[in-house]
Amino acid sequence: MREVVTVQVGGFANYVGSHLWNFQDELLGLADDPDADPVFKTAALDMDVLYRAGETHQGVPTYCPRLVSVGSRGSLGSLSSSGNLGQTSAAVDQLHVVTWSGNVTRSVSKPHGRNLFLQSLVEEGQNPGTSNGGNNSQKSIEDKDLIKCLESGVNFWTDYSKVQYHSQSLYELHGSWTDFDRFDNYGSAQEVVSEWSQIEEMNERLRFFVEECDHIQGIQFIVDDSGGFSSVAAKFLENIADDYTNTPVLLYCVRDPVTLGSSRNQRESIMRALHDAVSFSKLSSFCNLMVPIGPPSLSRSYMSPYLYIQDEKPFHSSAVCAAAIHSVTVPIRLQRMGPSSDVAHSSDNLGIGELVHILSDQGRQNMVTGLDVAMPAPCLTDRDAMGNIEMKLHSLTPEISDEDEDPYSVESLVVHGALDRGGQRISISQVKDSVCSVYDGRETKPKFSHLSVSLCPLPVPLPFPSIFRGNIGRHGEILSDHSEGAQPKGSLDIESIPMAARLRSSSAVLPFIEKRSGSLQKHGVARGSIGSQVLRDWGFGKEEVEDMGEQLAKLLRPFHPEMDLTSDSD
Amino acid sequence: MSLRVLNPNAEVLNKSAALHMNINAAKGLQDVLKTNLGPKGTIKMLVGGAGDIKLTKDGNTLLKEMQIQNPTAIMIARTAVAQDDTSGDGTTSTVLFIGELMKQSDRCIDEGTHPRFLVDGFDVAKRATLEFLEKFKTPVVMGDEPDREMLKMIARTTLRTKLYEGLADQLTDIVVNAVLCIRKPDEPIDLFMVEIMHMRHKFDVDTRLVEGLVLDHGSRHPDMKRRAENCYILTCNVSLEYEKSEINAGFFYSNAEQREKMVAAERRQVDERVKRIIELKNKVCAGSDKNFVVINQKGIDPPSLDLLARAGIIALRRAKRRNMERLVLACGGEAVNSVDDLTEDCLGWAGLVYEHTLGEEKYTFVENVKNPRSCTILIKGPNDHTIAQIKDAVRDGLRSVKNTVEDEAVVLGAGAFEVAAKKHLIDNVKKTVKGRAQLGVEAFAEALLVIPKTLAENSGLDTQDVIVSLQNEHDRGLVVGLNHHSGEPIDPQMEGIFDNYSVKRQIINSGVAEMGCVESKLVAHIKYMRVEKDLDKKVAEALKERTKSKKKTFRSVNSITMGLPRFKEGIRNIKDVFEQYDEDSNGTIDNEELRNCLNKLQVQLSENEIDNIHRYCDIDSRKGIQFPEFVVILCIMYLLFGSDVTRRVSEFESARLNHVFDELIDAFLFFDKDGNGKIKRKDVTQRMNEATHQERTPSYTTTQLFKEMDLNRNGHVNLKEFLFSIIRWAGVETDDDEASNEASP
Repeated sequence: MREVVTVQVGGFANYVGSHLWNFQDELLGLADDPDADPVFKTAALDMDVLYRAGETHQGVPTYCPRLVSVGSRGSLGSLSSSGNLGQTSAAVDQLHVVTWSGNVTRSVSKPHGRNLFLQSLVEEGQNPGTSNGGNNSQKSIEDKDLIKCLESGVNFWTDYSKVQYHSQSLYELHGSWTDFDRFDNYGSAQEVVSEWSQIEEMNERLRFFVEECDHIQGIQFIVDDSGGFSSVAAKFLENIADDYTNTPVLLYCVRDPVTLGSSRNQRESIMRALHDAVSFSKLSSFCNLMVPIGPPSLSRSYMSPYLYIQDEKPFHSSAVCAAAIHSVTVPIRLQRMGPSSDVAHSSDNLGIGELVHILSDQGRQNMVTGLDVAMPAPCLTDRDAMGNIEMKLHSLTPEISDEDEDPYSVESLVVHGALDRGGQRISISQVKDSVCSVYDGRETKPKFSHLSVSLCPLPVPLPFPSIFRGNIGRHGEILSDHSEGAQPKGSLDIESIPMAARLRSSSAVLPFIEKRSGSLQKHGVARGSIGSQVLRDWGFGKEEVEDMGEQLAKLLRPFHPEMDLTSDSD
Repeated sequence: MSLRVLNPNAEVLNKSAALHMNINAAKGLQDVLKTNLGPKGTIKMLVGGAGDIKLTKDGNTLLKEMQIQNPTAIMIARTAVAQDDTSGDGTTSTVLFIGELMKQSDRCIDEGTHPRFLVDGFDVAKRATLEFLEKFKTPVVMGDEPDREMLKMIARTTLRTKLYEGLADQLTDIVVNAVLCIRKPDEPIDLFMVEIMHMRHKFDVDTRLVEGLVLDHGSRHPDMKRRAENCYILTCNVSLEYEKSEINAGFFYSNAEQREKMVAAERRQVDERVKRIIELKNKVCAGSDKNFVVINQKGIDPPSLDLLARAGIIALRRAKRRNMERLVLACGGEAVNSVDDLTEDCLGWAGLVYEHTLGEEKYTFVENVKNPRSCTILIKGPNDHTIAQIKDAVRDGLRSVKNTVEDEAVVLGAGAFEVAAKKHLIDNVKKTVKGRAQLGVEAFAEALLVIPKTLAENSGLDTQDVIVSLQNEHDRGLVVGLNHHSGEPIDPQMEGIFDNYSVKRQIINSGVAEMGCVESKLVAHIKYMRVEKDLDKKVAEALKERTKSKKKTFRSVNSITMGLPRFKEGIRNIKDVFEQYDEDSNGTIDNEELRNCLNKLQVQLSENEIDNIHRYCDIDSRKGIQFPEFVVILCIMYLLFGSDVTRRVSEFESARLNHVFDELIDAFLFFDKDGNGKIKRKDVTQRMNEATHQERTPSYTTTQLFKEMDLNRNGHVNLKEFLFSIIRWAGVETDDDEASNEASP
């Protein structure tokens, strides 16, 4: 078993993470549940990769995500930053101040109420007997209310989280002069990152989890790079690169579609462009593989025939990102194959290190990869166009070209829980055959393609948003007979979803990099422009700007082999 | 600095934060912090929305928890926090002092004193007070053996303002011993070499000083000893785990056998390193009961741990980076980065190493070291907020001892210095100054007294009685401070109440070094607020006139929204005019250019008034008047001086401009129901919701709208803010910049 530590930095990253951990929690529950689909037990993923076992001060055993989550002060809603383990909060006014014998003034802010969903979790925790057995019909009514409550309003990422977090996991950044409502560009985090103690505390939290790992395979890092948090993350990543030199870091940059809204004036749009360039340059220089996620709109994307997503709800959009990230992490949690292992349930394990190695060290040696996802995955046994998995994978990475034919592309494809036309699970070898046949039929084949297959589909936990259209069946099969315009389906109607996801390193990502490199050149380097003033305000000297430009040029180089020659001769 | 502070973007702080207090004026800031001061102050318990508790009596911590909205208050807060950064204490005193100084200036200005005189007076007073401090301070000889008693007194004075007496006295020894432990002659004290570790366990009085180091992790092998005596300590930064090394990165295994081979080869390299350590252990420990402990910054994987455990070595992995430095200072030896450098000289020594387990948390104590140059303060407490508060207090205590050692001086506390300095200023300094600047000296002297006054107030004593009796004693030539129990004068020297010299110095300076002259900024600010008020009044009066005479143009919000493109069209025409007056074409009209411009418009304004208008209309965070602000100026000039203005702007466009300006002003009046020149949020909500038979505009929309308009966040929108927002919404600027189209796809 090789451990992975997860880091989430920033608002939307925590939204994504919250869904991601709900999936894991659901998998854990299903593996123990005798009534559940046996596939969750037999094809179980190795949860110890992402989770740690421990105990509380009172000696109660715990099983928590190996996670460091960084957010702004107040972003945890009703969840206490010390996690929710064994917390019995006494009434505040009865608290006795032991360190001071003089006067005490209390200043109590209005408590964040728990929503219906969180209340039900608390109740369930108090009397676990009723949740499993009991009157079933009564329970389903209640569940309906819970879902309604989540659909109608989610204010914090903790509002729909059903996971228990470790007391070291949740860290809130504070900055007295920083307005987190306007934390929208790289420079806005200056005060936060310059405060040594906060960065140190983040490092310490991470160290706590890494120290326990006997053999860490890598760190998966999710960052909301739309604002000041990318500066925080860059600082954090820099420290990680220093402290854990040979530990590979897989970085997902996620963005809420709403943050991509249009700018009001020229200055703002220049700042946006520069922010994108600076944060891309900084973040990419401290990780091993970078996956930008965040299409401008999910509601109008290719996924819309199956999914009904409201872009303005981060609760919705983050669910899709989380599902895709979950699928990508499936191979790192497959049981390692020994000679005696059961080939029927899962194919070979692929560690983060190997994944990074496959995608970024071969072919073009490009470390920026696109993420494509098919949610739900189509039935694979069909040979007609409908079944062509290639056609069904749609990109979650923004600003990439549709140009698909890159002979140097390298990819890692994950298919899990795939079904056939009749809604039956198909075996691993069938998946392999079918994928191979698709690839054989292609004109330009990728230089290298790795396929991981698992029988275990994506479970749909109760707090998952109702984003499925009427044409999705109970196990995620695509129904041909359905009524148009039906209510979107959620976790009550759908148990699990077959998924396919692909990380692909190819020239498709070139426009994404070029745009950033271009805007740094255009706005940042030119003297006397608004842009260079902005960069100065953000605390970058001339040399640093040059370094960033150099970093972006380095990322472009794999696509222009001839550039290498010219830069060498300089 | 002042610009930053006046920048509306910087005003709302920590909005999403859990707190609590909304500071609307510098006065409020002072009021909140006032109760903190001294050993009789009030501790504050802050409870956040999720039930998180924060306990603090520290001005610095409290300031960082507050939502501050008033720009002056922000400036004071920043100065005070900067004070804490440099000297570690005195935040509360700084806030009180600056606040008091402002109050005094306000009074003088009200009485007609020109700020210029005050500032001069302050300057003289500040210099005189600093000189006086030099004479007043009590020198402390440090030498090789510092005066431990003196250090204890100063630490006790600090700690007793943060913790109850019993605990404070206990911590006093700990703090003094910790600083003396890490002190090296002739070198600055690095407080990082005091590790502060906490355990949620037992009681606050179990807090203790560990001469050595406490690490927050333990060994990771069941067979390793949990306790060992007479230990060699190897501090290293060597990877003892199998990792895919860089050299093999381009390599692919063609079959399983090859892969196994590679793994085995790499494993051998790691094992080799472990063996080197074991060899050293065998060499130094052979035939004795000595033990061997490895503390590694990098990882150690289970096979390596196995090997080490079998050799009887205790091994810890992933130690904190800073602990590498501390370990070497505590135990001796040196940190090694490669097993090639291993010799006996690298090893440190500790008499006792043991592990302590609390639930899943493990602690390793490295104790009984020889001649430690680094130590650990182990704080214990029943809950997190208690621990956090003790931690803050310990930090302050450490800083105060460090300051004393470095200052080689202390200052008599309990308000003695302030009273003495005041007397000095009034008796000796005031008469050296000519004219009205004397008022400044007087105000400064009076402001100093805020410290003893507040101390008295917090102790529940009569402030005036106390001040009078203290001053009487000083007049008799005795240097006395305030006994916070009885209110009687006491000799601080006898009672052992001392403050840091550097902290006092800083308070008087109030960060002047970085900020230029704080006082003058404050005065300038007060003046500016006055100007703003005057202009606001003028505008409001003009508006009132208008309401009387004109009939309403707008009947609904929609009609205003529909009007936006029309405004834009109209305003665009002024662009040429703007460019004409922007003589150096840098997109900004500076003061000089504005003067020329207004002269051409032949409005009757003094230079002073033009300056004021320039400042008044510099609305956004960019310095100077940009185009949107220029439109605001013209519109206000039009309002104040009538249509002559627009005629002089441009003969041809005059009618059109008048129309646009009329409409803009009417739009403002549409919202401003009571015609006092200010729009309140209530007005906006009301207007947005009336006349529309559709659904109610959600309150967050109106709130957002209002927030966007209320640029200085004072709770109401005046004409200039309104105009500026409308111009922004109309998108005048965006459209004129072609580049923006490319940049925002």
